[in-house]
Parts: sequence; structure tokens; C-alpha cells
Amino acid sequence: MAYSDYLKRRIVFSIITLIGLSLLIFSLSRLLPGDPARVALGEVATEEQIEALRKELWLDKPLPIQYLKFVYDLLHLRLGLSTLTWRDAWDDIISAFPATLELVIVAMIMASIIGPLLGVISASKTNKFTVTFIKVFGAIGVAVPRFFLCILLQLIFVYWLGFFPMGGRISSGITVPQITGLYLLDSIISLRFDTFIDALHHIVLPAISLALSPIAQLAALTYEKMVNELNKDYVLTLKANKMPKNIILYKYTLKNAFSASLTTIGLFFGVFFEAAFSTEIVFQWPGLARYGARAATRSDFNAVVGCALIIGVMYSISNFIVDLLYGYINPRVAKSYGAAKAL
Amino acid sequence: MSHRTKDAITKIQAIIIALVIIIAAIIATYYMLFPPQPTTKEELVLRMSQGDSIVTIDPAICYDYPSTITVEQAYDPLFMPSEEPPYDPIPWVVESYNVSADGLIYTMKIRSGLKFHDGTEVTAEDVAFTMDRYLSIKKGHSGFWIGFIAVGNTTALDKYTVRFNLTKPSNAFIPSLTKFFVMNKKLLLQNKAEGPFGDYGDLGQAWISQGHDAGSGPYMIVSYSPDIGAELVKFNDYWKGWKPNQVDRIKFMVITEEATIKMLLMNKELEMGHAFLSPTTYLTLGNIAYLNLSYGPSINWEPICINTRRPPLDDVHVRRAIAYAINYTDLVNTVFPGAIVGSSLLAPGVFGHDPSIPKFEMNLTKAEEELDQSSYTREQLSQFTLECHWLSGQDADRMVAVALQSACARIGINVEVVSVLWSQMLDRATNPQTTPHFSIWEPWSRYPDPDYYVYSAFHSSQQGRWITQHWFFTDELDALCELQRSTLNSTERQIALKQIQQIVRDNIPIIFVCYRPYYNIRQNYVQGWKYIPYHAWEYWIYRLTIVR
Repeated sequence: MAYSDYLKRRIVFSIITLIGLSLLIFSLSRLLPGDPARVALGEVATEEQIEALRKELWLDKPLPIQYLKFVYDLLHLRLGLSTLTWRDAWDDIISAFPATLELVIVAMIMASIIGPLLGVISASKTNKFTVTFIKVFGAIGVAVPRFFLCILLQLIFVYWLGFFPMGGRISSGITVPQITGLYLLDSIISLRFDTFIDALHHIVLPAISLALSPIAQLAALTYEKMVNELNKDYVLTLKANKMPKNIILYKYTLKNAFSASLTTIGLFFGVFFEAAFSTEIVFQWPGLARYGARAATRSDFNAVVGCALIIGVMYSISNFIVDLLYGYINPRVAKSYGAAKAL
Repeated sequence: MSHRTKDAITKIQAIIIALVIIIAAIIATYYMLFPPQPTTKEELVLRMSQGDSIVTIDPAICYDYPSTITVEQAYDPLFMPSEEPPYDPIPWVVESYNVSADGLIYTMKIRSGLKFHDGTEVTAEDVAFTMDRYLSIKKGHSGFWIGFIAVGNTTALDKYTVRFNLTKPSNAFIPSLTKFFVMNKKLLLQNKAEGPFGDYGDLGQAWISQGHDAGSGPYMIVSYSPDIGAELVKFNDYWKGWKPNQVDRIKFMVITEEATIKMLLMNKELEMGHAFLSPTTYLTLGNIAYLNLSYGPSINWEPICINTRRPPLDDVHVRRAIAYAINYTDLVNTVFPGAIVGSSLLAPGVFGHDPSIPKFEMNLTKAEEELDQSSYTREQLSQFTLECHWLSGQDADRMVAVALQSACARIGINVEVVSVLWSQMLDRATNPQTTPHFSIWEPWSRYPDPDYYVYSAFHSSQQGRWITQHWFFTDELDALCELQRSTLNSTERQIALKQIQQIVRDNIPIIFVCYRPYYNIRQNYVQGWKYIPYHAWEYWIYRLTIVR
């Protein structure tokens, strides 16, 4: 009962958050420097052209009317004209979103597997080299700016070693059947393994650049939790009963240590969308973040609102799922909500 | 109990490892047997970077470089800039034309037998429709004709004759038609969607934005995505015909990161770089044996625009003193190798250029003399902090701003260098009080005529735009700008242009630091590239051949 109440409350919170977010993003977008019509038409535009575009964009109307138009359009799956591409911003976002989603999913998978694994390995090894290695790796992973990392990866693995392509999602000349927009998935569904390999080849470096920092953070977090767990009495009891080390590590202690990592992984999902900006720019990844960054510099407020809204929705969804999983893995959370409500 | 668990985990691990190995083996075998198919070997492909999104492929909307380059491959203009100085417009889709004595009626005969990509013939009706489409959509280069031609004032007299009725004469009309790209009326109306233009719907805008073209140019657009790029293949029935080794397929790739472009060129994964890399990158790449660098002075200036309405720059002596304090030779040698120091509004080679105007030069004695004549005392001048805005991302502009800062320091004036976004610069340029004291940006002439720089930079009707951040407008300049635009007498026009250049030089609303160099970097096997100074025409790929 308490869990279902908890669930309902989380849903209501998410909806309120999204409404507030739309209002906030809409208002902030109007504060972007520059007259969108003037910027969009460039230096060759006459005043007559600028005025005509301002009308087309509803910029001659008061802000509340503009907001109502925005909500109306949103309910009809439109975001208004993007002055970056002269199409509806919704169409642009729909075509760019799968690229970012695919990149984020692959980076998430990498981070979720490699990060905790490194944490467990370092916690289980007593030798100084492993611990130092994990610590140094963690520090580098967190400290190196992503933009620099991207260029470094390109330099080493593309220019010097020639292992991977410079950028893009797929080699030119290769077509991908459009089913979900996720090239890896689409190529598997359509049994196009050559396309799958090519898409995989393209996504490796961008995903590594995106995942490295989260891997380092998850490794450090898991390491800390694992060390705590391994010093607890129940582990001593298991050791005394000659339980194999791997079983103790992966079956008992990791499960307990993982709940904190799970929350972090969930939060990373939203963070990845934000962090994808530099990765997408350097690797020419035709995704949402790259589109949004360009839209912001050109005062294309419809596109900026759309991108920010999508990223906000992704944050909300990931938080919502994490809350649900957290409540499921750790029933005390839901119960404590019930107890708090009873008080 | 513990043994059972241990066995189970071991089995799971074994199964996972086996599965991974099997999947890897299947994929590797498949990959070896059926490697990804590259494009056909015989096909001559030209891959070129575009430093920004290809915002649109609609000729009536495009004005930026990447979009215009793409449009120029797929559509034919009425006139084309010639390939040799002074790059006068030559008839292209137009075969011949005549102008009425009052300069208001242009009657043009278009070539017969030109085909659009769908096989239909290009007719005068398509030309008239295209002009009305430009004027109705009111975006892109339509500003060249708004105010001169009204919707409906372009008429097809017969299948191959079209008449433009201008409301006032303009010497810029024919040159501006190098940005007039003929569109297929029938095809656009077949594919119109709901829109604001009555029976004409949206004039086919949505259809074009989905990656279609309605042109008759040498290449057909086969794929387009604003942030990824565009791919075009040759149009076999192009009216100019095809010679051996011309490019079969063009791939414009949107790559914003300069380091990436550099590596792609070095890896031979790009045939040609775009026009806006930094001079340092061009020169570095030019040292590589298999890359070919072309560079030399262009007709476009590198300006320091001075806001003549804000003190102390409202005093012409202060402006002259600043102009004398800059070390042009060092600046050009360091930042713009290959450029020549500027002198006047019109570069050498452009119609009306006045060679008697001396180049800008550093002369601190003269700078001091000018300051002595200024209405501001040295002490007053030292109390100002003047802002110099340069466009973020344009490293050469930053270096010019820093040089200006040093120059002003030499004569006791403080300058603060500020990087701004283009949108911010445009916004602040609308008012003399918000326009910075100095601004640095890179203008590009859009059509082959001095009118572009003269009228757009110094006629008072143009105030509030980024090119007029000097806020220097006088009745005399207005009259001369109008005269050079409307007179049908070439000598009279030349005299007017010289007078404008002299006024501008005397009053220093803009310091023409240099005529910026053009650069082009390409693989050695790409041949036939030519510098054409008018907005994107140097990247007309039909001109190129690939000889490996």
C-alpha cells in the first residue's frame, strides 16, 4: 500500500516538475541575447524581411500569448519554426534524438558494467598497484575535460592507430533501415550485420569519451561501499564458513554496495544528455546536444526550448525510474515514506 | 550448498563466455565475407567540410555560406560571376538581355533546351515564378529585390522571354541575379503543402526542406540533413555537358571542429576544406606534400569599425590618430600572410577603386599631431575605456582587436577587448548607444559589384545593421550612394564611387586593416579550383576535376 502511494506521489511530482520546467525554459529562452529574426535572416536582411519573420514567429505578440501558442503547439506535437533549419523544431528534434539516445545508452551500459566492476576488483585486491591504478584512473577520469579527452582519443585511435573513424554515425555509402532511429538496434532487427559493425565502429570512441568520467566515479563509489561492506560482520561470518571469495564479492557484498551506485547511474542518464554536447561536437555526432548548442548560439528559441524540454523529460524519467527501483531494492524507502505520511 | 552455488555460477559464466565467443565469431566471419560496401570505385567523389549546419537547401531562404554552396550546385543562376577579374556577371540561364533607356525594364531571353532535374524544360514562366517566390517568402537574398520589384511585376512574355519591371533603376540588379536561382514551378506546386500563400500553399517550402530539389544545376541533391550534410550526384543532362574527370558525387560534411577537419584532410578523408578555417591551420596544412594550398589577397576587407557617435570617437582627429597608431605591416604579416594592407572601401580590381588613396600606415608623429588637433585633451582621453568587440570563434579578429588595443595604448587610450556572439553583435548594432566603440567582423561581398559594399555600408537606409556599426551617415554620402546605384553613365558612376571612397578615407568610420586573403586547402588530386570573390562561387564544384 505504501509503495503504491509512493508511486502515485512520484508520478504527480514528475508531472508538476515538467509543467514548471516548460514555463521556466520558455521564459529563459526569451532571455537569449539577440533578436531571433535578425539573427536568422543574417546581415543581408532588410527591415521588412525582419518584421515579416517576427510576425511569423509570433514575436510581435505579448509573452503570455506566445506561451499559450507554445503549449497549444506542444499538444499538437509541434514546437514552432526553427530558424536554424527552417523546419518545425519538433521534426529536427525527432530526427536528432535517436542519435543522442543511442550514444547515451551505449555509454550508460559501459559505465554501469565497467565502473562497478573496477570498484569491486580494486576492493578485492590488496596489492598496492591495483588500488593506486584505480585511484589514478578515477582522478584522471573525473578531472580530464571531456572536450580534451575527445580530441585525445581521436588523435590516438584515429590519427595514429587508425582503429576507428573520425566521426559521424555511419560510413557514407552505407544505408540504415529506419525503424527506431537507433542504428545498432535497427541493423540487428533487419539482420544487417555489416551495418551493425560499422555503426558499432563509429560509436565506440564517442561512447568512451562520454562514459569515462562516470566509470571513474562509479568505480570510486563502488570501491568505497565495497570496502565498508567487506569489513562488516556478516562478511567475516561468510569467510569463516569458507564461502568462495567471488560469491562473497558478487552475490552478497556487491548487492548491498550497489544501491548507492544505482541512484548514481540513474542520475547519470540525465547527465549524459547534458554532457553529450562536447562529445557530439568533436565527433560530429548528429544528435540533440549538437543541435541544441547550435540553436542557442543562433538565438533559435523554439529549438532551444525543444532540446531543453527533451533533456528535462529525460531527467524526470530517469529519476522516476531510479526512485521506483530504489523503492523496490530497498523497501525501507517506500516504507519510510508511508511512515512519514502517517506522522 | 556452497558447492552447488559455485557450480551454477561457473556454468553461467561458461555459457556467457561461449555465447560471446560464438557471436563474435559469427560477426567477424560475416564482416570478412561481406565487408561494408564503399561507394562504387569508378565514381569520383569529392568530400568537403562545411564548418556549420547547412541550414537550408531552399534558394529563397539561404544566405549563409554552407547553404549557398549547396544550393549553387543544384540550381542555375540567371547570371554567373566570370572566372577572371573583375569577375563581372555573365549571362548563364539568360542568353541575352536588354535594358530600357530609363533602366527600369529588363527583358531577358533565356536559353532553350535547359532541363530541370525532373526532365521538364526551364521556361520564362519558371523565372517569373521564382522571382515572385523570393519576394513572397521574404527571406535569404530576397532583400536584394524587395523595394525594386513587386510581386507580379515579373512577367513571361513568351516561353523563353521574361521581363522584370523595376520601380527604380539599379546598377546592382544584374550583379544581384548571380544569387537568383531558377526553380521548377510545376514541381513545387505539385508538392505544395498548406501555407500562407493562398492557392500557392507554402510554395513548396516543406517539400524542399525534406531534402528535395527543384533545380537545373549540374548536381542533384540526393540526401540532406542540416547537421550532417548533403550528398549530390551529377545530373547527366546538364546543359553545359560533362568532361572526363569531373566530380560525380559531392559529399558536404558538416564538421564544426577545426582539429577534426585538419585530421581528416591529413588522413585524406576529405578532398577539400571549407572557407573559414584559421589562417594558421591553412598554412600548417599547406606544408604537407599531398595538400595544395591556394591563397592571396581578396576583395573583402578586414575592418575595424569605429562608432562615430560615441565619445571620444565622435572626433575625427581621434579616429585618425588611432588609424596612424596601428602597425599594419606587422599585423598583416603575423595574422594574414598573403594579404595586402588596406587603403579604401573598394579593393584593387573592383570597379571604381581609387588607386590614389594611400594605404594605411603607422606613423606615430602624425598620430600625435592629430591628437593635438582633437577637442579632447590627453587627460580626458586617458579616462575613457573603449570597448572593442570581436566575433567569438574568429581568432584572426581577436588578434586584430589585440593589435588595436596595443595601438591605442601607444597614444594613451584604453581599450578593452570583448568577445561576443554574432547574435549579440547584431542586437547591439541596432542602436548607436549600444553599438560598441569598435567592432571587428568579416564582411563578404555577395554579388560582383561595388554597390554591395558602398550602399550597404554607407547609405543611411542601412543603419542598424552590423556592417554600419560606424553610424557615419551624411546627406552627401546618401546622394552619392544613390547616384552610383542608379546612374546609367559609367563615368559618372566611377566619379561618384571615388568621391565616396575619399569621404570615407577622410573621416575614418572604418579602418580597412587589409584586404583579407582567401585560402583554399585541398588534396593535390583535386584540380581546377579558382578564386571567385563573390560569396561561395569559388566552391562551384562543376569547375573541379579529380585526377589521381
